[in-house]
Amino acid sequence: VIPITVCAGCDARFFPERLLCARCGSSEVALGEVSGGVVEEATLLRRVPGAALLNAVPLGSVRFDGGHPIIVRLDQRAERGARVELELDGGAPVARLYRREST
Amino acid sequence: VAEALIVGAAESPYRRRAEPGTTTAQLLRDAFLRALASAGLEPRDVDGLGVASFSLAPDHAIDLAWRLGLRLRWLTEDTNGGASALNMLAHARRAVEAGDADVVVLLAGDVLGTDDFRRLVDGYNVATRDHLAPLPFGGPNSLFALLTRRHMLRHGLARETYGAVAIAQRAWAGLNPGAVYRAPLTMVDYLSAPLVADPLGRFDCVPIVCGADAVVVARDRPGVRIRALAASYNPDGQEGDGLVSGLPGRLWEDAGVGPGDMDLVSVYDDYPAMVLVQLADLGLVSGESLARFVDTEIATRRLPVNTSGGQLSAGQAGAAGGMHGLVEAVLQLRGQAGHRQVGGARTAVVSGYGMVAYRYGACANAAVLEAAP
Repeated sequence: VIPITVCAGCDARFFPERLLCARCGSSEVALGEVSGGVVEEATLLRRVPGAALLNAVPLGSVRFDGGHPIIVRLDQRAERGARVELELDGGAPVARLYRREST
Repeated sequence: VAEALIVGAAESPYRRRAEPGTTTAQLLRDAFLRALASAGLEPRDVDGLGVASFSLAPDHAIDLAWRLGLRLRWLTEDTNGGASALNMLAHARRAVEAGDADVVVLLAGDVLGTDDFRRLVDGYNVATRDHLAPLPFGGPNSLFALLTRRHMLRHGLARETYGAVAIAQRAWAGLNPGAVYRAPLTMVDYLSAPLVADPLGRFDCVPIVCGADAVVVARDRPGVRIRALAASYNPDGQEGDGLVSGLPGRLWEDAGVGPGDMDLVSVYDDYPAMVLVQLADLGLVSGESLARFVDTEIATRRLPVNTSGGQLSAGQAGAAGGMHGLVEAVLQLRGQAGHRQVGGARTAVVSGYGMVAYRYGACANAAVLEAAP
């Protein structure tokens, strides 16, 4: 799961933390959590300033459930529409592709 | 009320890397002197100063004023990155018209090495430090890669359209001795360059350089008119798609002219997609197809866009990035743009954009400028 700000007034959800509800202006915001979302776009980060990466990093924009898009590291390359599970790794939101257990 | 005008503008030459020992303060000093000279003014005439820089710290605007020997009654420092120049211009214009200052110099510049830049982008704000830097994200390139993917999908564009923007700006840069990257760029060069973050390749990502820019705002002297200035800060809480900037707001109503009246355009160009986003927001895109617009208007120079080569070819000197296009527009409107002069240029629109709060820029502003009669 990742920590989110949840508005007690209108149930709007935000990541990262907000100080007031950006939708209704309420100060009644509390810490909540969310565990899943859907990939909207993905990229493969191949270079950082001054250097090429030995291992390219899959990054994506994921709309978390009930909320808005956030920037994540993907555990593997993913397509638009893929369902993911979210967790925090040293502050970084990480998304793992959701796999149905085969029966 | 006497109208505040832009009476001087200059750029301290951009360099890919600063000469060893060169400081940000030295480049700001150079831009300060050049802009004053272009206005026919002396340092002792200055009573207002505004500064934007990521690398001046631990000095601030007052320290720079002290070291420049200025006696001031108006002082500001702006932290809005690519939107800082027009934000400062908005404030300086009102101050000069209200009589709080008579001659304001606005400065922006940076000396940033690769390590400085990495530290800057990883620690840009709390959200970035805590949630983007540990991904890692490699600075804004990855965020604008995701934005460009959305833009491609929305408009049905291929990489070639963004390449055509970069190539057109490089051709302008070939006419600008002050541009750092001037060698002609072909579509083959563009498409075969190493990818940075798909779909962005090397020529989509603004190159970091060192340099400084300055403009002088004053009354009762010949200068470029500011017909209107509009701004939009945090229009959507970073929850949207980043494919709109929040402009134009009341820009065109206040200007009393329309996008079709503009002789040239300086839009903030950290990435080609943002060039197209701002041109569309400002009402400058004619026709339904962005790809066709780029081919028929930008590539042909029927609409002169980023005539210095823009930041994509002249380079992005940190916080000066937002002032670069303003200085270029003022030079054009004063007929001082050398081989790249747009003949008979009377009107220009300039935009600023920046401060990636989390997913894309949170600040946008624009000014409509007009040459002195």
